[in-house]
Amino acid sequence: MGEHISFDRSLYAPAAIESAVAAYHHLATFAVIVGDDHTEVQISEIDARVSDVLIDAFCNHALYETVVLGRATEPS
Amino acid sequence: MTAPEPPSELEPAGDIPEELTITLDERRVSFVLDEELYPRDAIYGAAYLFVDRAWIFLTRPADRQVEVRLKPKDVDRVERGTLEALAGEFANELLNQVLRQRVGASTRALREYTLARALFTDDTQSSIDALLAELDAEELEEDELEISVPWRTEPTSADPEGTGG
Repeated sequence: MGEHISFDRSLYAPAAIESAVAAYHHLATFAVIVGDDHTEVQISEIDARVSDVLIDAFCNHALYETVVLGRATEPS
Repeated sequence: MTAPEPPSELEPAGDIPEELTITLDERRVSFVLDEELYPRDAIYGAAYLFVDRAWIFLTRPADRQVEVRLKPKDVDRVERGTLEALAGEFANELLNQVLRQRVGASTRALREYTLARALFTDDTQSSIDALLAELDAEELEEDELEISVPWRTEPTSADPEGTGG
């Protein structure tokens, strides 16, 4: 039992999601499957102390990393 | 405990641009953006500025469309006005980002030309050469105020060896 999030690959870079997983791996268990159109993330065993915000924070982190990665790779 | 109200669609009001229709639920506001009007980089730019204020999630309900879902942080009780204000501020920032992009794109060629000219033109090098030549010329000139160096002092009757001491 856990939470499932589907990130559209055209909006969220898979590398950014991996970065978010690395940032939050000590607070939950993550399973990531990168598909052609979506990156599927299954989150389970969420630390009870952060259970109310972890998913939102994880999504924000993934979005933030996507923006930062995009700016780092775009031509100057 | 009362059941949560079903999502309601609002007509544009206040600061919210007319082409945006926002949807409210108990704790969240969402709206769909057309990428033809709001490029993805503009959406990213606005979202980047809001990550410390709101929980943001992007989805793609259809081709060339992006749904933005906003949920305010640090608010125990979310009121309808708070959500509308958040959506309005995001929409304003979105317009700002679009404008920045358009100005950036329209002036890109000029900026590149100016930078290239500053970096690669001979004018800069020639002016540096002129300054260096001027400095060299000054050093070569006789300078009465220049501090005398003892071993260059001409011998005099008081100092026949010219030691300067």
